Amino acid sequence: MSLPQFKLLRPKRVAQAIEYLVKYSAPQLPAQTSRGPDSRRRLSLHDSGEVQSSSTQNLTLRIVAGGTDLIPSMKQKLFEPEYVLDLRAIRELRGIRALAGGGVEIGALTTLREIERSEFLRQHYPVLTEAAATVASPVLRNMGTIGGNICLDTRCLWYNQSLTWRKSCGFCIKKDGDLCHVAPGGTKCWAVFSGDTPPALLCLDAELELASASGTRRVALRDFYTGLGDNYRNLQPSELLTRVFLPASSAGFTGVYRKLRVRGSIDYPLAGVAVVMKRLNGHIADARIGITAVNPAPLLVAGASELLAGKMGDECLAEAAGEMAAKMSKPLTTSALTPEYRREMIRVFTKRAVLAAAQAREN
Amino acid sequence: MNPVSVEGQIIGSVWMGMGQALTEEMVWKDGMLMNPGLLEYRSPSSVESPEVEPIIVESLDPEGPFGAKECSEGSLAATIPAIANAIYDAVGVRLHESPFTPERVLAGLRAKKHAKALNLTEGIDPTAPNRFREHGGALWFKGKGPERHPLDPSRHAEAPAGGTD
Repeated sequence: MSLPQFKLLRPKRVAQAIEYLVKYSAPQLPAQTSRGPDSRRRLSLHDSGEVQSSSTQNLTLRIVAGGTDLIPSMKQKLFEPEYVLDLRAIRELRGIRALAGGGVEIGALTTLREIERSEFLRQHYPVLTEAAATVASPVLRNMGTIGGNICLDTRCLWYNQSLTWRKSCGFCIKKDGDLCHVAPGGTKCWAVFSGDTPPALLCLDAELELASASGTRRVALRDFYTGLGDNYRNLQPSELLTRVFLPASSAGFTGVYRKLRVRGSIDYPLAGVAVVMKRLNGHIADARIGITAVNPAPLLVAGASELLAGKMGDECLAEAAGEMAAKMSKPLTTSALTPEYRREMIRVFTKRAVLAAAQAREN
Repeated sequence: MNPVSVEGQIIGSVWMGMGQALTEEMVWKDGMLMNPGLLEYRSPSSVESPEVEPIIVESLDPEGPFGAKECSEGSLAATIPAIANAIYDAVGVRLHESPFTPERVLAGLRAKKHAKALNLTEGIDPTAPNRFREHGGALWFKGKGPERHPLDPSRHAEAPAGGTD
């Protein structure tokens, strides 16, 4: 497996990066690829109709920040862009800045290591540092960025494979094919979102700043994900994720992140639970639960705040919260652990995380 | 013989046996290796690797040439049953299929307690020999992925629930 050919663009400023995006980013036409989809379609087992091209998959330009996810995917020929936009030279997008009116602004290029080690974030948003500390391994955290973790491509056992493998299996709906191996007969892609920090950010009511040629816009993180496996985020090809904002109102929540993985390092989450909690006089004043790696998008558990608010954090309550989270999770055969086990672990980890957050020392 | 390299051999083979016992598994589906990379075929990282204390017993082996004795992978073979026994000691479940993944331990626990069973052997391919199954004991790939050949018996016969081991 080698990297496909591409042209590297290295802007120094955001404005220049957006200029490049406008100039070079366009949906890829089938004729432009050297190994056109026509030759691939013949190999897919169910040859029916047009190959669907999802807008996130076949772009002429890909953005690279840390490169921990894009480079392996490019080697597997999951992306074959003509241009790669390398953001690393943009200094203005680095760093964690506390805002004057409360809250914090995190540049999209801030590495996960910086977030993990930030004393400010550890004090005010502990769940984020805890989630960032569980991502992959220290080597990857030194390179990987928060923006990359938010925009992480959805993963699937049938998708994150080499070109040869996918050819012999038959291409899937997310890349080059027209059927889903996980849910045969369906046309929805079920690839799972496997980022660690987004559930924590969801719990903290994070907002994203997206820059484009017509200015910047802010979207809530919960509206950023579509819940689809193939077109998993609401990001136009001409837009760039520049900053992440955490509001002052969510500072001071105690938080816990629990992640299911087979190894203690390197692995993507197979199930992940983030719990944040604010307590008052021994009772839970406000709480939120976010889950990841079991659905095509990270989700806030609906009704968890209502369930937990105003109660003592005891075992019964934690168990009820676990049931609630397990009900929200829809794991499918997208990874090498059985879906039943992953859903079971969402239940158990939510219970443990709620108990741990309820017993944590108040700030 | 340099004792340091002997110790290195012992540490290495214990580590390798631990990988086989706990995480490393080649998952097959219709002849396709589902985990062809080191990201999914998980050998232990430094986080899981324990301190190994090698003890070299020097002796003259009458079977070996000039009294020499093997000193490499003997400890590998011993590691897997040692971990299986440790699991039995801890939770009282005998596992007969390596690797002893958490889901297999949980399935064993559930089967023991007669609680809500976590059936990992549902839909075993009836044509597969008892000891050679796809994905070890868990045939959850059945019905997933590309369709089998029309003449494949598993497409017609309704698969029984698998052996119990």
